[in-house]
Amino acid sequence: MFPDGHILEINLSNQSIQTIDLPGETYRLYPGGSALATYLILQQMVPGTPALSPDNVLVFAVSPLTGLPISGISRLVVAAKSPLTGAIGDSQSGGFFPARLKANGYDAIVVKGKAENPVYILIDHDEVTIRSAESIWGKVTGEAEAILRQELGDDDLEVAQIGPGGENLVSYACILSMSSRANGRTGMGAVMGSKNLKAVVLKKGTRCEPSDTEGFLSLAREAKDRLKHNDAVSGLADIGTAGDLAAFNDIGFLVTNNWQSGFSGEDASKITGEAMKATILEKRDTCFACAVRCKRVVSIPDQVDAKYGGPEYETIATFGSYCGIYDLETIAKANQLCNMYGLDTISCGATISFAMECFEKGLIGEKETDGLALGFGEAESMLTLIERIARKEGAFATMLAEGSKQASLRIGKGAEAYSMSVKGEEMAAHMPQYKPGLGVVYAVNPFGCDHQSSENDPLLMMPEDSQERIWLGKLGILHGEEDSYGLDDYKVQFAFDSQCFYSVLDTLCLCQFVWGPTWQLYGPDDIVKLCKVGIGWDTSLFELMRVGERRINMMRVFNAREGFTKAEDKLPARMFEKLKNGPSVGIGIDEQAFQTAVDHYYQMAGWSAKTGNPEEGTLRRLSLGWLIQS
Amino acid sequence: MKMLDVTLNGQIQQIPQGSNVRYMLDEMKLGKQAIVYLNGKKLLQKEYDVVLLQPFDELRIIKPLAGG
Ligand code: SF4
Repeated sequence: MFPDGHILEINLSNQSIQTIDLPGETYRLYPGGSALATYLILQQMVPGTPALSPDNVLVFAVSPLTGLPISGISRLVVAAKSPLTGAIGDSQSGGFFPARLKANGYDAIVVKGKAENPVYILIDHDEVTIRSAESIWGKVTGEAEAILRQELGDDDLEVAQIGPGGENLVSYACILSMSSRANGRTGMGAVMGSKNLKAVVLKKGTRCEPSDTEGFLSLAREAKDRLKHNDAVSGLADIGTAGDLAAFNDIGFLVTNNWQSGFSGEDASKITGEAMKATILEKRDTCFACAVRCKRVVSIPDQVDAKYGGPEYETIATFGSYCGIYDLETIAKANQLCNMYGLDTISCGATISFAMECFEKGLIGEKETDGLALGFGEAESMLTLIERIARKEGAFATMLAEGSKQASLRIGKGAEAYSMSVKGEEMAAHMPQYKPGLGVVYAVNPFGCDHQSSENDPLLMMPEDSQERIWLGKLGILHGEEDSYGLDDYKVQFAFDSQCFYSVLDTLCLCQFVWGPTWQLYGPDDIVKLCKVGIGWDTSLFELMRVGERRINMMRVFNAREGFTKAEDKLPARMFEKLKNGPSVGIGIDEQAFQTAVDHYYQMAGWSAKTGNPEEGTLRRLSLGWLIQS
Repeated sequence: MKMLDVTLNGQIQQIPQGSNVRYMLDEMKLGKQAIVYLNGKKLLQKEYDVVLLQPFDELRIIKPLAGG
């Protein structure tokens, strides 16, 4: 038996609140997170609805497993049509909010309509109220959370909220819980802002119990021991996600100056995870029930407040090497500003680095930047610009608030070549020149160039008897590689199958640092076991892979309905140019080989060679025949 | 302690005689998540502790850089 799903549906236009039960047999096909959210959006959003219209459907989703006390199990998906890309939007975050949502009895919240005035939603099990957000609208996240606690007389709240960035409809505004855990990508904060919804606030929930207590506890207790013996995850715990930054630079694949280079020279040593640990790190933090504790908390007296967490690798790269800034204090301030105002650090940093290149190349000057000197390395200008973007202050910042792609179209003069984006979403800090399989996924992934949507090419080089290769073998990925740069059929299969597997993780809402197909603490077989001991779901890896593939195909159908085709599955031209300096000099992706790989991906996925969209047979195979009728 | 010369990622290094591959990994602060080529042949992980390095061995050690 698969549990029923409990969905809270709220229409802010008429203030209606209802709970809908999704029968277990349907829920099993879309078992939570991103799959459930996409299913609900496909059912409820009329194609062609503008992303910031009241008719866009915003879904917060967890999974049937969320809230059970085991490491890496508290993840929240927020999805809707994206204002940044016009495609399906999708974002994940950790923290305690996800577990608390499930502990209040909900698998998803669907928000439709638009409130007349700013509101927040307060959830205390069955008691759900829509309340005025007058006192917190316009406030930065930390302040808003403090006011809510005081007003509600309750210190034990979990709050997912937007900052002024979302209120002002910045296309890459994010949603934050704990003022530091971001549903960062694809502008879900702007969708929330467009509905006049400031926050979702959760009261204390009821403990979630596994179906097989003994089996579950035995699996959960293994985390500590596995952590002790897992170099990759214990390194993550010790140094954080920036642990590989120096190594990326050493081999010439640390994004530098808006992707003009992959080498920051010795400067990179100033912004590494180790440097952060030795200087501004105050402590490590964690998510619900997680033994890993990979989150960083930094502080700088009178400048950076620990309540806004600390920068991840992506944030250090985008505000650091992307922008030619090698100062951790500046990066920590940029991180804090984004978490206060509610902006995605990746798109924000990358959009500013785009503007820096336009400035250096003379496409814009101080007249256009509203007086800012904006060359690479201009730290003060970068910090000023973040605040201006969040407030949409001045014509220049307002233009950048739409992301680098839209800004490039407005600037003209060839600026489009400097927007390092796919489908309008700025690329995360993993260079496809080093990881071309990941590059294929950057190109074809329905919600943009996400770095957490497939496995990384270099892991295929691991020896055959490593955990990485043994676990990949469980997914049918058997062929190893001697270097990272190949783009043959084996690599495309690796990209596709590992994407389907990561899609399972984003459906079951499992943290990719704890559960995964290679270096993580728990592998593919463990996930099957977790489903059994957690909720009594007697599943198989085969069924789970189908779940992952189904999600990707539903998203692709969403995009097709919005007019997307293979024409949008393109990497920026710069990826095909040879890198000009550092250890990676001369390396670039062969454009012809890349296009062939994308075509082969479509074949493997069962997508049309002509349109890049799912073939009818593929949809039928995935129990998605209902999408053909639509 | 008797030392011997090996080449690690193109650089000549002196290491104590009797060192195994694990010694080099420890020196590089790498755990077992590493790819090791010894004289052009990729080693299995189970060999890291047992293969003793010989004078003039050529080692290429790569850390596979993933995501996050
Ligand atoms: S590994 Fe890190 S991000 Fe993942 S659940 Fe644990 S603390 Fe959170």
